Amino acid sequence: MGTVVSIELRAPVAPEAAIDAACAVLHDVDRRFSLYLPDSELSRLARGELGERDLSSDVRWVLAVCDSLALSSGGAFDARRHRPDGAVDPSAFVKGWAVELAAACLDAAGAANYCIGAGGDVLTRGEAAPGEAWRVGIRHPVQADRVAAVLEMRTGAVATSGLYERGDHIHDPRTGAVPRELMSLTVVGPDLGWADAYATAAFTMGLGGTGWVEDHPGYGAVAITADGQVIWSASAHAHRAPDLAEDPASTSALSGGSHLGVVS
Amino acid sequence: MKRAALAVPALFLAVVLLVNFKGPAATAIAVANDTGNRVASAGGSSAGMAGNAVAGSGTGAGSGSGTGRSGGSSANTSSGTGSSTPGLGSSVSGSPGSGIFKGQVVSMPYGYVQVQVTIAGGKITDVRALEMPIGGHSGRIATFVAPILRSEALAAQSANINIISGATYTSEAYAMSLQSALDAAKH
Repeated sequence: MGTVVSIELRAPVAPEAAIDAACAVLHDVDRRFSLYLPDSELSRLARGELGERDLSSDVRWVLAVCDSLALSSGGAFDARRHRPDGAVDPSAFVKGWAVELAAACLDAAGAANYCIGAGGDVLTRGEAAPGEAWRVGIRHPVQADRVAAVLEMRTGAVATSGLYERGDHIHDPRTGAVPRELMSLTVVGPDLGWADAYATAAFTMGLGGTGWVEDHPGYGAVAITADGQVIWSASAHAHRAPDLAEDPASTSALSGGSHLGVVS
Repeated sequence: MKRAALAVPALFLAVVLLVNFKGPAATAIAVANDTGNRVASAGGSSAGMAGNAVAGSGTGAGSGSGTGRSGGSSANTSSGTGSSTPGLGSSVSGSPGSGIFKGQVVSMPYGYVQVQVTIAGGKITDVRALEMPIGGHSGRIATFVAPILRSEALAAQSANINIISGATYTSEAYAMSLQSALDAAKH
């Protein structure tokens, strides 16, 4: 299973060497973390060839982050209980974290306006055009070529967890059951690694997930429920593109916490 | 023209990226599949999103029908006219002929996905994922999401969207189908 990564840059563009560096970072993370590579550190850990204290410092740091997430999410996110075979799988955090590292290469080279897409995760910097934010669509849970909502992003991250393309591939680590309350949950915030992990946890939590995400300063969530409602938390609603305003008859009072934007 | 392209097949992160610099005001992005074959490239000042998710469709009735909403410059408009509306507008290496080409039907858990590519004058003008739910789970979901389908289902094109966030899925099925559609166009 591979992930297509795309980078779209606006002026000022970064030199090719910076783009090469960004790609090298992604490959390096893949090499060390991928459970699809038999020689990665995590694969060797899973086979018992390495102990956790033998891992490189980045990998140990990632596992520590994931352990803290398991605590703060009440186990809804748990890298140690994510896979049935018991292999430690921090990929929900690693994917976004890797893209942030790659973005740092571009930032260091002077790129100021770009967006990166990686397997459904989105990282944005700057603007799509002078005075115009990046417009990030949230993929429609049923129609692959449609969007259900639009976000305006400048510098930040958007990550979505959901059940539509791959069927029952998400399991609640606490129960083993497949979460059914939501079709997707999108997190908006400053860092893609955290957004990725929060989206995974919050999707598993279900309807209460948006409030849990909103508890984290700077992070908000957009949930699409199983019956087709779109729920925006306050921080996510701040990014809602005005062109896509809902029916005037819908309720969407901004008063903190979860907000129901009923799309009829 | 500066280009950077990499492909690492079938790994957790297969990095496929192409950047084509045309000048300070222009950008370019490209799409390729896991085997590193370049599938399409786009140039121009507001190229549509490339990558694993679906690109905006070049034509289309626009956003949810029946809402009668006119505000905003880009919502509820159909077809890509004007510089602010990104189309896929790409040239495909090999300059295939014009027409609408469909790729292989690829099976995915919620049904089948077939990609339809419209090529005119050697340029991709429309890419559309044709979802064909086969009943069962997909059928239930289609019923549940009627509220979204009716009003919020925007084509990425008409909503002037740069990029799409979606739940992670393997790019293989989509890219494979798109690739086969483009291969069909070359004959």
